[in-house]
Amino acid sequence: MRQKTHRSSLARRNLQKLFSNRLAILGGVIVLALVLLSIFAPLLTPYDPAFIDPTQRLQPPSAEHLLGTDNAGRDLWARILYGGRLSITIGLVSSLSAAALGVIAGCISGYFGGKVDAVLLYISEIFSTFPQTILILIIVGFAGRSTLNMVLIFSITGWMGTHRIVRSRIISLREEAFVESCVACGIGSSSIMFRHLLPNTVGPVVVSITLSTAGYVLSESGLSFIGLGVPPEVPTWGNIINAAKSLDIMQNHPALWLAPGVAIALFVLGVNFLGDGLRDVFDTTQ
Amino acid sequence: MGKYFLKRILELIPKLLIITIVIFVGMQFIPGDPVTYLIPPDTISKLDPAQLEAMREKLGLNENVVVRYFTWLGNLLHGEFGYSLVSGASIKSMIVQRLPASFEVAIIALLISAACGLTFGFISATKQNSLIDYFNTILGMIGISVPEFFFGLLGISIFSLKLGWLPSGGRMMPGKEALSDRAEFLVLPCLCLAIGLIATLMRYTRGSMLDVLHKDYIKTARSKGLSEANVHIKHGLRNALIPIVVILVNRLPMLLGGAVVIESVFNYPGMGTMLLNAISGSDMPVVMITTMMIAMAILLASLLIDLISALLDPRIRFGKE
Repeated sequence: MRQKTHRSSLARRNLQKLFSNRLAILGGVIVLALVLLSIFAPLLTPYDPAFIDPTQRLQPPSAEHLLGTDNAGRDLWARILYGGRLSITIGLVSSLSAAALGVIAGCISGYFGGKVDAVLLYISEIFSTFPQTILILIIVGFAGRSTLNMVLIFSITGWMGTHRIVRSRIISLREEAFVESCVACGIGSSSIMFRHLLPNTVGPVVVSITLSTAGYVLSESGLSFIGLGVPPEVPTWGNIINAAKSLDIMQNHPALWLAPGVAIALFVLGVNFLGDGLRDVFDTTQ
Repeated sequence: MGKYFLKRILELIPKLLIITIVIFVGMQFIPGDPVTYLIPPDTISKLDPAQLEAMREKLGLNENVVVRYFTWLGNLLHGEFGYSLVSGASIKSMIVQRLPASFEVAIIALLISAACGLTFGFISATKQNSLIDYFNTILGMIGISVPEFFFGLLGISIFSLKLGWLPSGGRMMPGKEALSDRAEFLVLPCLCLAIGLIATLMRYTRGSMLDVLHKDYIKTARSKGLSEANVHIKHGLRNALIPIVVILVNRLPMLLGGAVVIESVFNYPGMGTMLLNAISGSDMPVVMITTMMIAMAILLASLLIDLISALLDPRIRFGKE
């Protein structure tokens, strides 16, 4: 009981700390707004983002088409709303699965130490020598473009950061008395690792998930922009800009690349502000 | 010290071998006969089937995987990277042609970002919570949040299309190859590449400086009566440098690999666009060899990071022995 009240007051203090950070609030509001816009996309636009209307090519913004139409006659506002769904999902799913891999590896590394730890560290070092972009380029070269491939690559190449964070945290926690009493009570290793030690690493892991979501949204947009990300028919923010690469469109129809670019920048900016705010909250050294 | 360096360098060898094995395994998945990328295409067209078979025998392609791997590795060490499946050019000559272009952009961008990033971060940290610090922080956040290709598109549409000051892409006008003629082609790619890195470096410099400035030895330095500038630069910046150097060296492989996205925006004929073209043309030998070089560059950069950190911080050098 006593522990419970203690916990809730800590949570309240953390929330207060987060809410007193104006930039974090701003970031949170931006992210929330963009997420809501893409969730409720069908309510906010009557158009199908993939519907090609050759009679409506490259229309300027109007009451009918809020941001105008692209060179295939598709409504840009609809494409950006629906594009947000994919871009944000890709970023979030990738960073969550990368974090899951990292957490498991980190727990094992930190708890068992010794040879197991050395092997995992070595593997993570080898992984970090193959840059994500290049790995994706190779996979795309062999297997073609696919959304799933992209998420898989992001997760397989993105777990090392979380691994390091969780590992070092668990190494320092391993010597605590509560672990010893767990062992004395006959609690199994996996239960100690995941039930008793893992919750103590939540803070930094949440921060890293937040910031890497921003990173993955950026990487996805860059890769799609150069034509190597998700397949061209999938309307992510990067793909929308990719469709607007010609000099003619750049000069005469700037909305086609400005709007999705601003959407990416806003989302990433919001997530970064939020992530920085969270880091301040969880950083106990201050 | 020497022992530490030697150990680091020896650790590198198995890692380099692992990279070559990964690439070799990847090469085995390339559809078609390996002979097509191991000898020049015009040689192949002159050979009849019997001679081709003899060639295969000579290249060791009929041996088992292990022998094939070592033959291939030996060829690599002699600078024989094979031939492009698309153009038939030797991969070595392609790299020799493209590398200087990427190198140029990357080194300029790295220098600009190191100079600006360090300066801005230093000012921010020494004037913490001032207006200029706040301004820098927001700008830095924008710098790391806006995709670099978006800066590229903005640059092209403003400075090339609207104002007509700078070319929108390419590396040089035909016939005008002097650096002074090429400078205008370098401005936009270098700046776009530098913006993100300036922001990152600035954020790290600020954080690292603030960390250091709260240390006890800074108080000691102040209490000795040293000037504020002396404290900041000699005692602060020098100790804050390690994480900053790490980030900077981390970007060095870009010199070799090119900046794929930015090169593509500006249609710049560097390693990045070479890699892109190879991928869209399914020119897998070129893709694999380039990847291997980049991965090796990253390994060497990580070695360099260890060595520089050890030079800057004696604790790393002596800590583990």
